[in-house]
Order: sequence, then structure tokens, then C-alpha cells
Amino acid sequence: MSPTVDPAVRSEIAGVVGARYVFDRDEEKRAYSYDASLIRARPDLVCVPGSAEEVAAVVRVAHRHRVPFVARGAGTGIAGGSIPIEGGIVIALTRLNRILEVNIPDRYAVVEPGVVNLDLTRRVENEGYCYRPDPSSQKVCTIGGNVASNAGGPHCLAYGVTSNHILGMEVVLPDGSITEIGAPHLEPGGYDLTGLFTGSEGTLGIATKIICRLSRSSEAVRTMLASYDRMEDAAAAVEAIIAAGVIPAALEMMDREIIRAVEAAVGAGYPVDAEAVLLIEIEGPRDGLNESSDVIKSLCLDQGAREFRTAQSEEERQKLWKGRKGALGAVARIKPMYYLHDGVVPRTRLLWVMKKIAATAAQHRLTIVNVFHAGDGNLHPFILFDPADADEVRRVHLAGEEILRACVECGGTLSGEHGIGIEKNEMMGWIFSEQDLETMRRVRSAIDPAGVANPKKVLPSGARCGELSRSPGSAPAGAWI
Amino acid sequence: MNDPRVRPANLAEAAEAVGKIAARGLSLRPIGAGSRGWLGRPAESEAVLIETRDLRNLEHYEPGDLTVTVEAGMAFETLAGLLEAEGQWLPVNPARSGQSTLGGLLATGATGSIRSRYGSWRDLVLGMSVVLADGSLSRSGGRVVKNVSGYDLHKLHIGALGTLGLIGSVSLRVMPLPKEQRLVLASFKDRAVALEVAMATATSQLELAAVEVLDNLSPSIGLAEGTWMAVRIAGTEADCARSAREIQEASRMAGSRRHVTLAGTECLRALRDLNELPMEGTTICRISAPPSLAIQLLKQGSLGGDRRVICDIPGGIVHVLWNGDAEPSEIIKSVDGIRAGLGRSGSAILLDAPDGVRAGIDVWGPPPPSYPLMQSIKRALDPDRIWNRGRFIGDL
Repeated sequence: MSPTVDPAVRSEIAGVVGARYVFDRDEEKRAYSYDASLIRARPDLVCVPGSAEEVAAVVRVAHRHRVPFVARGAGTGIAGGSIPIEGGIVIALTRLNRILEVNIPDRYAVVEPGVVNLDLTRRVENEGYCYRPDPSSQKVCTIGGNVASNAGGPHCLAYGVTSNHILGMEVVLPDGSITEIGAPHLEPGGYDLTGLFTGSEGTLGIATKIICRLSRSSEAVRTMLASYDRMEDAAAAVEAIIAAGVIPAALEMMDREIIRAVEAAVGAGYPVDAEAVLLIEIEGPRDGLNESSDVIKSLCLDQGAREFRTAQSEEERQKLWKGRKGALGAVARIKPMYYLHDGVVPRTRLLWVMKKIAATAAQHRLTIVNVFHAGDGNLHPFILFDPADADEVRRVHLAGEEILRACVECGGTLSGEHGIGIEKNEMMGWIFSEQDLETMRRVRSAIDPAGVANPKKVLPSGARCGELSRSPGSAPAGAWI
Repeated sequence: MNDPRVRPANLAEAAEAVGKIAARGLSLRPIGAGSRGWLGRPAESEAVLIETRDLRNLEHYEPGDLTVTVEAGMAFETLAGLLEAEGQWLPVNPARSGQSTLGGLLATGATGSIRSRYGSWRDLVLGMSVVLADGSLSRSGGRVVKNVSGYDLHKLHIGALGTLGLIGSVSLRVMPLPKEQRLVLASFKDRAVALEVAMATATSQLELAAVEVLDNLSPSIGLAEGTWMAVRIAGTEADCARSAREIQEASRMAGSRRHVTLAGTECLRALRDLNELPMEGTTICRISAPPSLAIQLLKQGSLGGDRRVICDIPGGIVHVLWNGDAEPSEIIKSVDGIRAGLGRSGSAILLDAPDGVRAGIDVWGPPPPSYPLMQSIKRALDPDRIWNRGRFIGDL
């Protein structure tokens, strides 16, 4: 028997959004109990408002009754950010999916939070523009979710993360009031609230309109693949490219296991006997591309690349990217489940940390595969496991912690683009002092004094470090790993 | 007995000093090189100055990471020198910035003409340590280029004029120096034509560092008075050559009589001069608006005619300059007119102005719609309002 919400709350919310957009049957709540992380918890109630005003009215009900609420986009988050760990109301934003304004001369678009990332670029690409942030899930993930988690993607290397592309928002604050922050120009005045809200994982309010910066599409693009017999050489090539002052638009690395899985799944044309491949893309005015690609090619060969090739057609280029973007799905071919991490290291420590990951895998008798944003130092080790094997699950958590500890130890951080959510909030003490965290808490309570906006996320909740993620037995009621 | 100035030797000393001064109920004013004191309303005279000049350590610099961490009292020029030695730079170009400290540039949100290409401070700052009003030292972000761990509190301090705390140290993303730079200058008889050519240039697929239109200025780089388009190009040799060629051609087709491309040291000298132009007035108004609105104002609105203006075309940032002989009442009337023309679609602040102008107008203009939220944040981080009282927007 799952918990239920106060009937008064249910009827008030039904009054706001209409009874057909309120769900609280068990099977309905289960559908909103998960995201792409391993954490599960059921809400007491799900509602699907149809406008910003309805979102605000629902939040006012929640605030008045002190019921927690969690906004949800496509549910593709990887850190449990949209999991209602404290129960309460899930506010699904799928109906707020309109592109409200496209302003090409001033290079911005105003979208509702439920707009799918790729749909914005599709809408403007014929006019020669695009929306730069391109998380691998861009065909399904929403811009609202991207803003909440300050999402990244392969092309962050040259163009930055979501926060570099958001000019402003309309936000429903935790008390249900609506305010505008930022503006569709560069100097809105006062404190940079847009910067604060982007990446706050729904703990400061819910964005109901988002002003996205549009970028001019590049004139030309060139995509290259370098393959290596040793992972170390590939990592050294990445360090060499960055150190040479060439910043590609994307610089991705994939290891042997991923290459094989991807080849079996989508046939991207990667060499299946290589230990590692680098997928490198450069963009810009066509005249400069030859010089940059020559530099990249010679650096890759210097580090021992056994093959270096350049996509000769758009079709071939798309195929190379299909492999990279389909890597996550292909992993399921190796083992039934994976635990994906998102640690970051300074770029000059890439080689060091790759060795550390390999040693960790060996020590805990686990398979760890890697497909990641090498140019940014943003790792994505997938630790594979069979959920039926309790001991393996235990080792998965130990290995994950060791990898993140290594990232922090060499000057890096816990998450580069997925977020902290409920998965890593108890590890925040590894990178921040109690004073740092207290300052963040102070800002959070200034905006959400009642503590109803996505509680227990981002900041440590007081549970012992790592307790939640260590084993299913110690997780709070309603959650499982 | 109150010492009106403190000059801490390190961050721990700074935090201790702030705690002690705040406990005595005094207000504090952070100061770096003191080179940007013109921004904002006049400071309260009883505030204790906290000088950051001795906080100038290089905390961490690994060129291969393209990141650097420095204490906030380091001069911008000093950091630029350190980076240049490694073939790198921090891609920001605010005017009057040579002596300025990084903390001062961050607190005043100082930017220049290249921000549309390279971003502004909010895009370059990776993390910060800040001394808060209670004397605690608080850190956010980190020193890696991608990081979503915790709130980006450092962004709040950028452009906050020190009203939320003292910026102690900062981690920044840096870039390889461009291989080549060029400056294309083209003169036009008609401002509207110059604006059109500039807009077309800025929205082309050429990757340009800056596209500006200057009117009624005669900079030391030898331009005659009149309307000029200035395009800064940065990239490979091949990119630069092709961009310069296409921009000159487009200018010629649009009726430009004089156009020239500068390269090498001549280009660098001209860029330095050009950089300082936005501050060459005794009264300076900075407008921010969507580019098409900024251009519309420059064509026919309150900024038309013989006004001395510099417009960053892709950024929608316009600097309007007046000389010392302009009547304060006329300046005030003009700025009121600009603000009325912008409505809620843009902002216009007075960066610098003589006392006669300041007395008659709020340099910041009306606060933005989210002002109450900003007040909540101010209360959370500086409940007793000890930091830089009275100088920033509203009562922040």
C-alpha cells in the first residue's frame, strides 16, 4: 500500500488542472517513480498542468499544505533529481511543450520547459541557427530538465554547457509566485539569478518559460576518428591536442568494450579490435579547417594512432556520431545493468585517472567501460553488473566511490553534467567544507523557506556519507537501487 | 580609533578582519586598484575600506588544463602576462582595465567588445572563494571546466559590486591565444547603412571576435570623424584572410569609400585604442538591448543624429558618450528618453557621470522584475547590510 496525499490536496489540485490530469493509482505512480538512475521512489500524486498559471496554482497548494513537489521533464536524469524521494507531488511538465517565440534577428527563442532539446534546433536549422547544448539524450530530454541539471553534451568543449546558453526564465517560486529572471539581452541588471537557477535541480522553483540563446550554425564541419592499440596513447593524444591550443568542437573517447557493443548494436564503422577510439569534430569557417585537422592528425599519429580517418560524407559523419550517441543503449548488450558516473578531472590528469579506473575494475572484479567527453576531462565510466548478484552490487558501489574519490583527489569534481540529485548529495562534503554547504543552504532557504521544492536533493540531508547508495537495505522507504 | 582601511595579507586575514569589523557594526567597502570607483552611487564615507592589493598570489596554473586560479587582488595585466608566456589569454577586453584587479573587474562585471564571441565573466569563472559578512570564507564551483556540483553561487558575485561579499580568489577558464588577428575598418556616409552592413557581417558564418559601429568619434587610430564599422577577426591565417576579404567587399558594395585591413603590430595597437573608446567621455551611458532594438534606436530613436556612440552589434551593447561641456539637464533628458525608448526590453545605466548629472538621475535606472528575489538573497548573505551600502541597484 503506497502512501496517499491528503484528499483536500488532491481535490484542490484536480480543481486546478482538471481531474483527467491527476494520477494517483498505484500503476500510474509507478510510471513516475524512476528516471535513468538506479533510484526509485513513488510520488503520492502526479499532476500534469497545462500552463504556467496552473503550475503556479499547484505549487501554491503544495506550499500551503507543506507537501513537497518535484518537477519532471522526460525523466532522463541520471542522478535521481526528479525522483520524489520524500513522496509528495510530481509536477510533470510534458504538456508545456510549445516553442513560444523564435527571434532570429536577436538570436533567441522562448520555450516552455517540456520542449524536447532537439526540437528547438530542428525548428531553427533551416534558417542557419541552432541551440548548442546537445546532451546524448537530446532526442527525448527536455530543455526544462536541461536547465535544472545544467546539462552538457559532446559539443560543450567548444560551446559550453546549458548555463552559457540561457538568457533568462519565467520561474514559479516555491511559494507559488511567478517571477521573471534575466532577459533576452545581455545586461538585465542586478544579481545573476539566471546563473543561480540554472543547475539548481528544481530546488529553487520551476522554470515555466526559458529564453534560450540561438547560435549561428557553423559553415563547415569535419569529423575524424583515430584508433589506438593502447588506451594510454589515446588519453595522451587528448592531452596533446588541448595543450597544442587546438580546441575541437567535440573530443570523445570510447574504449574497447564500448566499441564492440556499439558495433554490434548500430554498426558505426569503428574498428572492433582497437583498444580505444577518439571521435574528434572541428567546426567553423571552411578555410581554417584544413590547418586544424592537419594539426590534430599529426598529434594523433605522434601518440601512436594506428588509423586516422576523416568522414568523407555527411552520411559517414552521422554514422560515426550514431555510434557515440547510441553508446548508452548498446551497453545493455554487455550486462543487464550499469551504474554510470560523471566525475571530472583536470585535463592533464586524464591518463592518470584512466589507469586508476582500470585498476579499480580489476581490484573489484568488475567490468567498467568508458565512453566520455575526453576533451573536457569529463569521465563517464559505466560500471556493469547483474542486479541479481548482491555481492556484485556491493562492489559496484565501492568501485564507484573509489573512482569519484580519485577525481576529487586530483583536483576534479563529482559531476560534470548529470547533477548531484539524490545520488551524490551525501558526497558533497568531499569537495565542499561545511561552511561552503551552509552558505548554499542559506541561499536555498532564502528562496524556499518552507523546504517544499525538491527536498533532500543536491545538498547533504544529514544521512551518513554514501549511506543511501551503499546497499538496497539501507535506502529510505520507497527507494531502491 | 577606527582605522578606515584594512589591508589583509592573505585570505584568512581578510576573513578575520571582516568578522571583526562587522561585529563592530561598521560597513565595509572592498577595493582593489580603485580604478573603477566611478561605477554606482557614491560610497558612504564612514565605510571601512578593505583593500585586496596584497591578495595577489597565483594559486594554481596548469597551462595544459586551460584553467588558472588566482587571488582577486592580482592585476589584470599581471595575469595577462603570465598567460601570454604560455601562449594563452583570458578573453575579456574591458576598457580602463590594465591596472584593475581581477576582483574589481568581476565585481563591476566589466566586459568589452568581444563578449559575443568568447562570453563574459559568468562564462569564464569556474569557481570562487568569497569572504562573507560574518567573516566566513565560502567556496563554490571548482577549477575544472565542467562542474554541476552544487549551486553556482559565484555567479551571484559577478557584477554585484561587492554587495554580497569580498571576492577572495577565482578560478577561470583560459584559452589559447588566437593565431592571427586582423582589424577591418570601413567608413560610411550614412549611419543606417553602416548598421545594416555590420548586422549582416555579425550574422554571417564568419567567426568574428567583434563587430562594432562607431559614430562621431575620432579615435587616435587615425579615423576621420564620421561613421565607421570596426570588425575584429581572430583565427587561423586562412580564416583571417578570407574574413577580411569578404568584409571589405561587402563594405565596398554598400558604398563604403574608405576601408582598410590592419594586421600585425599595427592591428594590435589599433585594437588597444579601440578598446578604450567606450570610456572616452565624461558621461557614459551603457545600453543593453536585443540587437535589433539597439539598432532601431541608433537609426531613428533617441540615439539618432549626432550622438557619439559605439555599438557592439551582436551584443546589443551601446555606449553613448558626452563631453564635459554638455549640460547635465540635457544629458538627464537624453538618458530618460533612452530608458523610455527601451521600456522593459532593455537597460541603460550611467557608468560614469559628473556630480551634476548624478544628482538628477538614478545611475542604475529602475530595478528588474526579480528585484524582490535579489533582496531575499541579499538578506540571506548580508543580513546586516555591511557590504558597500548604498552603491548598487535599489537597496541591494
